[in-house]
Amino acid sequence: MIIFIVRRFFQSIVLILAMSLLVFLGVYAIGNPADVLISPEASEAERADIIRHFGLDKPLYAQYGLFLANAAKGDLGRSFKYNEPALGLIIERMPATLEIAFTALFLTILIGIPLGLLCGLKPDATWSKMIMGFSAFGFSVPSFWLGLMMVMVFSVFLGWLPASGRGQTMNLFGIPFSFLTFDGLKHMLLPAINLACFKLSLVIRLTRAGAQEVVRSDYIKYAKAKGLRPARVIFVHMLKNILLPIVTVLGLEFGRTIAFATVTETVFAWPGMGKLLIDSIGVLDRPVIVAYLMMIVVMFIVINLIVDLVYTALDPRVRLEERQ
Amino acid sequence: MSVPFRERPLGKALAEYVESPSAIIATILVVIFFLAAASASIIAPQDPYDLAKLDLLDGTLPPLSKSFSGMTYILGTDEQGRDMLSAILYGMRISLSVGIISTIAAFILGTSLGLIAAYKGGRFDTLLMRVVDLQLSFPALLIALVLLVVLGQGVDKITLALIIVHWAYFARAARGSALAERNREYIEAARALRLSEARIIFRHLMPNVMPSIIVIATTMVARAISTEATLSFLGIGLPITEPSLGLLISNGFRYLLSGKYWISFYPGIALVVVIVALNMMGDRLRDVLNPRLKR
Repeated sequence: MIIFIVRRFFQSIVLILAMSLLVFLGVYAIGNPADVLISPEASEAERADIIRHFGLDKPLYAQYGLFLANAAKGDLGRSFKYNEPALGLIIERMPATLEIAFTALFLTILIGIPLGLLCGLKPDATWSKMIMGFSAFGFSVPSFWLGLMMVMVFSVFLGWLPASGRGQTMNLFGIPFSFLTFDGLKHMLLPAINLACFKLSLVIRLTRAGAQEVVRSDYIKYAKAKGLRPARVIFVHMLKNILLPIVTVLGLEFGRTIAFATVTETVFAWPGMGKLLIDSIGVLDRPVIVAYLMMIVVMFIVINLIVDLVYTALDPRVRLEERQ
Repeated sequence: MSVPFRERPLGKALAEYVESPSAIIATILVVIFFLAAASASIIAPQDPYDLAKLDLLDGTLPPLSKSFSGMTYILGTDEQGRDMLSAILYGMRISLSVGIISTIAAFILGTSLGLIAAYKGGRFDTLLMRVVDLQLSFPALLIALVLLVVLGQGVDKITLALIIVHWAYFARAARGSALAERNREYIEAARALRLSEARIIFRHLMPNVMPSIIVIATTMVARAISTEATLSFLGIGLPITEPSLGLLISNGFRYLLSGKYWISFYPGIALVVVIVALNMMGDRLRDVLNPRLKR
């Protein structure tokens, strides 16, 4: 087990290094940053100063070396546009993104698992078919379109909910959060539902498939024969056995959620790190793009590592395979 | 070859496919959209990108309003007085061609590599699958986004980005099915005949893994269209000179907030109908072609 953890850990580090090289080379290929960064009216002296300041006059490998050395110190360069540390900019906007991502995850679990159970236990009922129809729809429809439709219906036509921004925020540990005020909650609802839609469809399907498989097993028949209440059979005996794959998938989905938050944040003008990325791409703010991508890569690798380790801890069959 | 068509595998699958009414509707919709997009320059009421034909006075008219010249804008106009129906037909052409061309290329690349990996095994197989697993652990949207940041905008670039994103799905599926087929008797027989490796892989192995790959190809066209639309909506997919459906939706977004819904709404409906119809076709094909589901 320890060997497994150590090996997975080293694999992750190698992966992070490889991805950092890819990201760096890729973003370097965008174009000459000196042209983007320096205004055409700048004097020669100003130009030279900026080039020296960002290390743009050094050869590529030296720039990468500089980049790695600085990255290890948590310094991923300064934003061309804001003239602030790029990583700081991202971290500053991270709580906003995490806030809607976690809310979406919460909504997914809260709504998805009961609906999936309903569909799995009564697959032929009309509402089961309706739920599955919704799930198929949520799977295939582009998320940005759903967001637009939500804005159109709930903000423009009905006027119930605001269409953009975070609303009033309240500080918790010095970080502003929207979910602490009523106005903030109103602003959060649409983006969070938008972000949850795809995951919701997925969880409904997974839970349904799990329930259909488990309901035929002997231990459920036995639990029923013992005369246990149906609620206990469903929520204790069945749910425990369905939950493992759902937890795994949701763990892996979390990275996807952060990536897709880019789309949701653009639709709802939610000031998170996804919107920062899109804005930075628009003005070719290279350090911010690199910093965002590095953050995402590290996040993904860490999430995958955690999911792997948790899975190994929870499912003894994986451990056995590893030993052989 | 005197076996009647209905009893050959293709005929049987086809007969089973048309048993589902929703699959028939989906197929008809996809065919209609495809034909409409292909003949956009003939059937569109207006050439939406000929600036001489546009009248700024006709800007942001609601659906069914009449222009000064007596033409009816069935789906309204955008801010430049462009007929939305025509814009949608032209946009559909770009969206569908990006989706179909990128899927065909990803299909050829991914399937070939997957088949070769499965047949040859060894180091090539290990390396290829490492790359595939690594790529599939990141969301397609994110990879496409990074690629477009590097490549820049344009139809050719987004097609290339979609190929790079989607080949891995084909490679994994082709390898998976080919591994199961590799040890069957007909492959052994082909080997005993001393046929060349290329011939065995592409003439004997490939036809037998095709069913599962075709299912993936259908859903991949839908996904490619969806990803392209998303990227164009974010403003990093296609340039303003090549307006796909995603870009039309993005242009109308500003006006949506002031209640002029039609500029975004109708291109969105066209996009969603195509994607959902393609997915329904894919679902039905999977039911028909997947032997594991038949009990």
